[in-house]
Amino acid sequence: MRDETSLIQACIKQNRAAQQKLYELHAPKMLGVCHRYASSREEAEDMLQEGFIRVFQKLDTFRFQGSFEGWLRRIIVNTAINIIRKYQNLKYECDIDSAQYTPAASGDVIASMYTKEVVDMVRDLPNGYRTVLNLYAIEGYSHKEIAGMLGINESSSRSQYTRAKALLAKRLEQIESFGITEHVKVSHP
Amino acid sequence: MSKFRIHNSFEEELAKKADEFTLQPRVATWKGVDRGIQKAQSIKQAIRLAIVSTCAIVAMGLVYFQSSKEEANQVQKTAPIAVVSPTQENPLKNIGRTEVPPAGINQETTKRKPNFSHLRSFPGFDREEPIGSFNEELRLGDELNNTTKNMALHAVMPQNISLSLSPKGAESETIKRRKRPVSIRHKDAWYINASVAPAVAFRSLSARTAYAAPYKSLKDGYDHSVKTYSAKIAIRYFFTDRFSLGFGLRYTQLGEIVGMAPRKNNSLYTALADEYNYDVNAMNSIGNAQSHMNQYHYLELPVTIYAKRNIGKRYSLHTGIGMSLGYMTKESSRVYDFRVDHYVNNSKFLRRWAVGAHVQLNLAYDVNTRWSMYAGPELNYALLSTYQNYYTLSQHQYSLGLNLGVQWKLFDGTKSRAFDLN
Repeated sequence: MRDETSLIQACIKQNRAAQQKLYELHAPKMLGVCHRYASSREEAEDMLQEGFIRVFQKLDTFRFQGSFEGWLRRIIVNTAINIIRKYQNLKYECDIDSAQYTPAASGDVIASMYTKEVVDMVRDLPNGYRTVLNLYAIEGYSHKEIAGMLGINESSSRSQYTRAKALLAKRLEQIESFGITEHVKVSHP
Repeated sequence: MSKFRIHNSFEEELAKKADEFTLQPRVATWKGVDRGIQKAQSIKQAIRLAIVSTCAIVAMGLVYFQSSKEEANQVQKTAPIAVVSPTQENPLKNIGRTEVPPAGINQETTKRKPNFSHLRSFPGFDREEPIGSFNEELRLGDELNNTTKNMALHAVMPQNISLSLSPKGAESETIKRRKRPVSIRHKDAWYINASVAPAVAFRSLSARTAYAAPYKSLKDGYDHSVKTYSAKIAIRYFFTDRFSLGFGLRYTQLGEIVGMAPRKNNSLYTALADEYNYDVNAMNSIGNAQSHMNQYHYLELPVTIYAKRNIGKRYSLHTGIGMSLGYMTKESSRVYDFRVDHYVNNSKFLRRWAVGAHVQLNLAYDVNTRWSMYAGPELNYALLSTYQNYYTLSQHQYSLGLNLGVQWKLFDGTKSRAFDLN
């Protein structure tokens, strides 16, 4: 913790070696975060790059009160959202006949899956669903906050989340029923 | 972020798994971050430099303005003409028009008519005018300061009464040593300017189509600013004492450093290069393995309106704003062609004509009646995109530089009353 504090202070003083060290320390995890929001590896790396540039520009505003990783993650997520809002259409529609899902069963299945499978499953969702699911289920934002971040209605956020969850449930049901652990894409337009 | 929302097992498990996921970024990503930080720092530094230089110029101006004001006040205090005047009014008037000696001056010393012949050696005093009109010369305006008045008075008095007219406290030596104004009036005067401005050139990029947006984002990460310069020669005409119009010829060099990588080794791109007549060996993809400096050379016709503010005897502030019409005479650039997905040599994408806007703030120092030097920040912004309208990216270039120049007076103004007593 103390090491991280001194590292951050060195970064504030524009020490390039310290900046690189801080980047190397957090980049793998943050790329994992970006990977969940992006539709390709290249896009994820762009998000990471732009996010870290912003992090280093705003580092002097970090107050050393909370977790640095939490602060860093918020900036990375915000950058990812900005990129998505700028270049992608969030209003993806996906026909789902049944929006029914079984969360209790899904939770158990997720626990039994490999991490990469879970992330790939999330990444296969349409953009809008994926973004809302990431923000609500993983980052812990409320629908009100998500609506503000994405410039959509709160009800849209809720419905997109419900649909995303339904799609995932469908996928998890398949896995649970047939024991499929191999990556199968959820079809979407 | 809501901290008190209750997650069910689905979300908990999902969050847990997602948090465990990590990926190792490529080395190029760090290079992009590093370049982005450097770029942000150079922009910050340029802005800081502009602010500091502007503040310094304004501060210097204020100091000189204040000191010149104080000097003027001091001269008024130490050389009060009215106080030393024996007639309590205007000694020149009495001396020039009557032969009655002023009260308090010895009758014998004033019997001789005052001799003004020595005044003819001063420029500006060589006109055949009655002595009485010299008082009008003394009332030229605010610019003609009290020092000059005292010197003139000192000179006009016959030698035998000059001692009796000296201000109390023997301040005359101080008065004699004061600097005279070298350029007072500019109206109708013509000047020629020559300047050079080392600068940093930047560019703003925007995507005209959705498919170009990711490339724009990549280019923003890989490209960066260049150090450049411009040189100008211009004629300046003062249509009032304060306002002037400048027009001339300027050479400007703009550009950027583009980040590139080796060509994608694929037969598809060889075929595309053939189709669009590109040299396949001169194709590069976007990246940061190597870089190329894009250079655009313009010849421009700038027109600038200046406002002048005197801030002392020899210093003045000149604020200029204007526009320019330019033509790209030469270029050395690599442009990204989206059809072949590579950087190529294709000047057809570039716009030949340019329209720009500029603002400048110069602090000028009058060396003498003809020569002056000036320095100050200058911002140039290209109003038109570097690329043609059909190209998928729109790029506006701008540069921030330090303008350094000299000015030489070609012709005096018709109403010029500047004179140098040195």
